[in-house]
Amino acid sequence: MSGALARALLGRTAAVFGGMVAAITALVVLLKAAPGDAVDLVTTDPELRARLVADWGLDAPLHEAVLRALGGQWGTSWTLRPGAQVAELVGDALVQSLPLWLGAWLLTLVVGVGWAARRRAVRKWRLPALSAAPVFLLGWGLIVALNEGAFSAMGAGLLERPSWFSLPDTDSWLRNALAVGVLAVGSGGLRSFIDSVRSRLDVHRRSPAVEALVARGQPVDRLLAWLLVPDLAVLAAERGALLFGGLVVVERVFAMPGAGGLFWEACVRRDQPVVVASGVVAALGVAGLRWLADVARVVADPRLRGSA
Amino acid sequence: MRRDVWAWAVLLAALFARLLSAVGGYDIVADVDPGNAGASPAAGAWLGTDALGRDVAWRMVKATDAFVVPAVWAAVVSVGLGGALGTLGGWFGGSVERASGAVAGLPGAAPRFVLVLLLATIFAPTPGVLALGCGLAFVPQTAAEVGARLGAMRRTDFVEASLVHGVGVPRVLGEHLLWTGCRLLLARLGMRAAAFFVVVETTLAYLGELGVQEPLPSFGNMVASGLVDGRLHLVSRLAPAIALWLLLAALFHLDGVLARQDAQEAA
Amino acid sequence: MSGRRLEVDGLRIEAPSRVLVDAVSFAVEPGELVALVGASGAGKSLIGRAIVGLLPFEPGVVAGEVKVLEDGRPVVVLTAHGAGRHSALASLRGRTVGWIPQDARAALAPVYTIGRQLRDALRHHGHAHAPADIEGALRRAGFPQPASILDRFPHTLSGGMARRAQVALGLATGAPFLVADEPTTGLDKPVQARLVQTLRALGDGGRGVLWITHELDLVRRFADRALVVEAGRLAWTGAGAELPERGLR
Repeated sequence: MSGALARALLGRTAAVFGGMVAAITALVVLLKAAPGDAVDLVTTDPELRARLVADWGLDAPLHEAVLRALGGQWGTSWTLRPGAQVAELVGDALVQSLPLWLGAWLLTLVVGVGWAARRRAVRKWRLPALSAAPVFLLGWGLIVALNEGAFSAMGAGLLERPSWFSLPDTDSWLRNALAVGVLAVGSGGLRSFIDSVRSRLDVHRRSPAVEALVARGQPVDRLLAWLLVPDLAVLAAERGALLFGGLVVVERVFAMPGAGGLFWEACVRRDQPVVVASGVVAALGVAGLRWLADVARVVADPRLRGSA
Repeated sequence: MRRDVWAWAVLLAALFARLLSAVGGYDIVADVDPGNAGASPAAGAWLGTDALGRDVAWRMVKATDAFVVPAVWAAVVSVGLGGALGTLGGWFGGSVERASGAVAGLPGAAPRFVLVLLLATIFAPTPGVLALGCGLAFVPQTAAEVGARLGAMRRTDFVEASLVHGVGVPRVLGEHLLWTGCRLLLARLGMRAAAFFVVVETTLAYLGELGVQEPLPSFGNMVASGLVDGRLHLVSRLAPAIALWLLLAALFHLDGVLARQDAQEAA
Repeated sequence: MSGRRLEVDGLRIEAPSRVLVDAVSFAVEPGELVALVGASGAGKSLIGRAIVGLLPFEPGVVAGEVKVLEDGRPVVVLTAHGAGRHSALASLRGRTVGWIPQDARAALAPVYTIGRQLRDALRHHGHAHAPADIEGALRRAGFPQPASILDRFPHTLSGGMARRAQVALGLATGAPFLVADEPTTGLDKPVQARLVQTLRALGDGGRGVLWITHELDLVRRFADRALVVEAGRLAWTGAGAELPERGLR
């Protein structure tokens, strides 16, 4: 690896993870600054309160609290699964969410790039119309339509009870497929990804370098693809980060287990260790995606190696 | 222009509904009428009634309380804070740009919806906190885009010439750069934050607990009740969903309109 | 090079509300350095872009013909009418007419090294593309130490070096004709002269070169012929050395 490349990567790594540390510090500061005390949700008995404050480290100084948050020392769950190790809870939930997140992310990339690369005009209204609906609304619409349709068909004797009936209570291939699709398409996500990729492709197609290849009679696809890599890396990272948030909604709407549903429950029940852990993991995920995008950009575009 | 009229009409309808909600005198408690539950659309209730016999159309009007004003606040936070940080960075460049970029980037460390939920959990899921969260979620993008545009414009000859000829910095920055060069961009970014607030508010209401709670109406909780109650007329079940979808489609469409106009002015 | 001749016949280029180039006809013979001069906005670059097929030859946009004749017989005819447009473009671009674009550095692929770009161009046009061949192309373009350029990326080159890299790429296609669009823009006077000498040498080597420029002194020194474009029309043609001062109103 060349010196310039290594320096650029090091600089990017420091920036990305430095930002993450700053954000987690801000989260811990906010928690400490929040009105009231989280332990008041559990008990007001002074003796018990003092013990819980000590046990849960609520009186720890700021730097210690930040280090614990960053170091994965999240303690035990307060209200969600009292006594359970938060690290285990969050870890198990992440494993359950990974296929859903990965499926939606890959679907976005494949469909998004494929659609954006089409030169022929596409009927523009269909995808924006669908994509404008928020994730929960898309999910709701599909669940209602499929359930009612199946129920009517069963009632009319046209259909045997399908394995997936009824959504979302039954764990089925259809429920999982719908969840992936809804997560990918909803809230304008897929549409804005396609628009961004298309816009970058158009810019590169009109670039002097591509035009020069055309004038020399040489094919442009490989250069276009390589020029798009840095843009695609950034867009894919942004999209991946947004999908983390979408997991919360999709797992709830489709009654699927996972990190999103865990985070939601922890927020509702004010289980602070699980909330903090989920926030840290989400920040780590976002930072990780951005770091990968930065690595891809620096490797693909030699112009970036001088400016770390 | 004719293709965009529908979007402006939807937006105006939402604003009108908010106004109507304030002056229309609809009482969410007095409207309860279990004997009239699940009624079909008719003259007295254009969109039918829900499971408690309440007028769905009036509840939809009342539901605009939950998002119209807070969405505007979300836009103000995003444009105000993000715009200010972007302006600082774009105008001064160098270490100021790096510092303002780092500050603006802080909210971007978490996914947007997660950020809003974190704030709602730490403080309380009030409209103000949600609006603040949604506005903050768009600060990184606003700061980056305004900073990039302002930075490019700052280096143009006409700006240098204006400064050399004694035109004050506030006027160059405010009138020539921000107003002339960035107003459509800021409008778009504010609109995105507002649209995000609508999504967040209705999603939280749909999911329950952290959102608008019954008997107060939200498009979100109205859609949720339509999911489970098969007695409701189809129109009553679909109306809130369609209204929400139309509103968001209009906001996305207008984002595209403003983007094209912005590109034309830049050219 | 062969008995080929590049002809532009009745070229007309239109924008939605006005005519940009009208009734332009001229020819470039093998071994000639023909200068196309005119003020900014006269239409010189548009003519060059039309010749290399970068403008859409469609009714209402570009009319007229760009032809390549071999021993008097048309072998390539690019016109707005007729079904053979795509095959004419394929025959023209790179195979018959090479191009040296105005913005030399921006027109180099930013993510490939100079050596890689030359190798791709040589290979695509069926020429030998071993490292020695690549260095030979760079040497012909005026690089004294070609080996030092091979692994460099475009953003690390000076303006003059980027221009020479474009000359090398134009030569790599092996096309008998070259269109050079303002190749001396932004270069110092001595560097300009050296670059034009390289173009002159290409002409002497048998290639026909259409050189778009507004450097009148260099035209008088080096060009065989000059064509003056004013408001999209040819206003004067003659020997390069006799180019009048009026050229750039």
